[in-house]
Amino acid sequence: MAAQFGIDTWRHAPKTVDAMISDAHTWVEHVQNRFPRRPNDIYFNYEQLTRRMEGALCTYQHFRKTQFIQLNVLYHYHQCLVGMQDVEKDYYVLWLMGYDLLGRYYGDRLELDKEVDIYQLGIQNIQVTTGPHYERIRANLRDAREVREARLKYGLPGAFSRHHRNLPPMNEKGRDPVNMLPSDVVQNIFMRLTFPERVRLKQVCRSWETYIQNTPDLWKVWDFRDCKRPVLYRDILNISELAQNICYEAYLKNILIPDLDNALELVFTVLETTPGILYKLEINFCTTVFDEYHYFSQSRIEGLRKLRSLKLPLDDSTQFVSLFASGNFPVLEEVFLFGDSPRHVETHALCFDIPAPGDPEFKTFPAMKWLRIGSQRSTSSIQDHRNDFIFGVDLDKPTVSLDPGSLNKLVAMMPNLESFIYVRVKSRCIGKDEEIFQTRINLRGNENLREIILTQSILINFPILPLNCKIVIIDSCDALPRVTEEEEDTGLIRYLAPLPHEDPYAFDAEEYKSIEKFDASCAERMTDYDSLYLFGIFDPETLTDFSIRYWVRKFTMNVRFGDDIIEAPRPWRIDEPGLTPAHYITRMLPRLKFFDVSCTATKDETLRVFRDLRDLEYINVAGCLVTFRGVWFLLTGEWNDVYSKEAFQPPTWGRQRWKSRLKTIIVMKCPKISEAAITWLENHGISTGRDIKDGSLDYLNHWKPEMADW
Amino acid sequence: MVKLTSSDGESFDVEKDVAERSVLIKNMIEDVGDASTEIPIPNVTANVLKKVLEWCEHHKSDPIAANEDDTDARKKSTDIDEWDQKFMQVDQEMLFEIILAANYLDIKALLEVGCKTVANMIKGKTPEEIRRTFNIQNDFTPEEEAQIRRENEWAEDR
Repeated sequence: MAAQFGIDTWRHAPKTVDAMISDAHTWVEHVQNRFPRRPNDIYFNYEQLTRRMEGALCTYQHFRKTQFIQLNVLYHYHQCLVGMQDVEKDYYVLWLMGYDLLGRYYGDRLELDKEVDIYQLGIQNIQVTTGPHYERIRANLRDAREVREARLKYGLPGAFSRHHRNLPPMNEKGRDPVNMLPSDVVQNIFMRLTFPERVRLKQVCRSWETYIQNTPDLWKVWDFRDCKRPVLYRDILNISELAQNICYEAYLKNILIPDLDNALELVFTVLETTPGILYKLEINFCTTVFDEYHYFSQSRIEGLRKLRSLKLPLDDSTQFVSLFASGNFPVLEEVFLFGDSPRHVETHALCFDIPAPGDPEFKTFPAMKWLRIGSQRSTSSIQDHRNDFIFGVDLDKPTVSLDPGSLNKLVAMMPNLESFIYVRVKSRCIGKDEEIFQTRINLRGNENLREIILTQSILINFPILPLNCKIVIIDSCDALPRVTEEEEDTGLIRYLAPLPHEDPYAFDAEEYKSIEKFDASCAERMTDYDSLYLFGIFDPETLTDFSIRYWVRKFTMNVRFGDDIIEAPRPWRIDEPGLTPAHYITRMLPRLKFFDVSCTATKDETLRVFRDLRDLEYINVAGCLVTFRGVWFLLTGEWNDVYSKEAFQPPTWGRQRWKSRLKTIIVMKCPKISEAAITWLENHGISTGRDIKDGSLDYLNHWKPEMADW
Repeated sequence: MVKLTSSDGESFDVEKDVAERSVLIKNMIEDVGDASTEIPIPNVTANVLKKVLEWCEHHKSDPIAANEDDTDARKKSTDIDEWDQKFMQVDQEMLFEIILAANYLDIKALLEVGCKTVANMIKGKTPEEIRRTFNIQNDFTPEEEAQIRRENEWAEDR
């Protein structure tokens, strides 16, 4: 097992160099055998090898073909490079010197980590000439030489950089907080520091060390996420002692791969003996090569029965899911399977071998409330996640895809699921895999769902939204729900409001009431969500059997649509001439508070909406001329002569009713709107954004609406 | 109005809702049942009490945080709003006195601000810089220090 290569073995055991090399060879061979399909992708992470060992390892033939090597804390790199370089020409080399990552070669990309701490001394001797990124590496190495001198001057590697800083003068008025303040206050202060920062405080003085050693409450959340150096098994052992063998949350990241096995064993043992419930476990090795690494051996399961929350790489989740399906995580509430891996892209979908509903083995897990799969952001905050969708997120990194059949079985096991987030990035499945992706995600069994967020997913042909959903965000999916004949028969179709008369603008209070009345009959069947966001739906015109009207509900308050949706009448099933989706929305959503359409049209048909939306607080409809309570607004976009016919005048009636609600209308690039109208709005506390002028896009990009009830 | 008397005998007249930012004083007023009685604050000197009351005055209309769930994220957070940052620009003696007073008077929000301020003074500093900040003598021998550093190598910040 990988643990044979553990650092303790290397550092403390009085082995001969040859024995150690053979250990390393065994390990490499083990990796090769275990992961035959990816022999060229080896994550190699080790510390303080002797020059000779490195030389030996690197001439080892497996490494000649290795395209991806990550070397940690490698002091004697020369030999390595020499060994690697003269044989093959097609490998890429990553140099990680000292403790920080210089960068990571992957395929034809070089990703440089943000903070590069280099003391790759003497690196000018390296001839990196085979890769396509020679220039870039070279540029980095130039910096390295300067650093080298600094290092030589100050001695110890690892310590040099901080000697560059000018130490502040001794603060005569300084007071030692550990001596001044009560113990619980000191704890309050120290808990605000990151985990490694807290550990470093031991070095300050004896009294701090004593305090830290004797305050187990500082150590009960094992958080290795902020570490910059590899964490070893014995370090975790130390933490365990400090915490008196109690662990409520564990974030295992940056653990030295060979030590991983022992570390997990330790964590799980501590979990088992910790009184009460463990709240969280996060295991995160983004670039590990260990597919299907066995996190959960049989001996560890006991400790996991208390788990409330789990975060795990999606690549490695197969074993977890089968354990979950057989009932080993009875109190688990929250699962996040994240897919940052650069590996299974394009065609590879992960399948879980788990029982489907109807199978005698099938069980349900009522505790499960929150399932999130495959965002590349490793943030745990749901608010951040929502912001990603509202304000845009960089979706360039590939993620793992998941066979929707498996996904359906998984969600079927979670009848009380409240939040379901599924983010799949970029790639469409091709070839024979396409067939499996025709499966719909079926969320009809999950009636407690409050929130659905799906992006970049081609597989959301699920029929009808669950009844109680409050927040729906769909981004860049290529199909919206289809309505089958069977579903047409269920009577839900009756929900569609008839359009009472021909003039779409004649929308008065009586009509308002009649819609309310109409909808009351449907209230038993459907509750309403607050937020509906639809973006980037491919080709909505072709969705003949789909009606977006199913999605738009009376009490929806926040709406954001892409212009593809807003301008395509067919998905709306609007047959009446002259009527556009925008009209429809405003009529169907009398409770609308927030309306945002990223639409660039200046067509006449998209004009004149919003007239009677009493609760409206925010409008942003690019390029639309809208009328609101008798005043006309042009919302972003260029001036069009059509508009000159309209009078941009302050309203002459009804002001009292709406002025307290509407807070923002964005009026930009709009030279002909009457000054009087704008002044009037501003006098009534409504932001018009008219000072923005040409910076309008910037303004929009940075403008964050206050979200209702979020 | 409530009358508060500091440990060194100085009296302060403050509005009731300002004084009641302190849970201790609030409970005292409730116990006494008569807001006009003088309330002694025996652990806090006049100059500190003045500072604390200044803070309470500025924050008197803040919503009082309900029994906050002490999530890790909240604990860790070290963001301080601008006014509070300025308010906390005092020498360390005073800073710690304010923290002690907030702790004694049970003014949670002020205690939070104080702890955040101290945490920010520690954040991102080397042990040597921390010693200099707080005027702490390094009482380790070089060997001991090296030993501790070795044992906690994984926690080094680079």
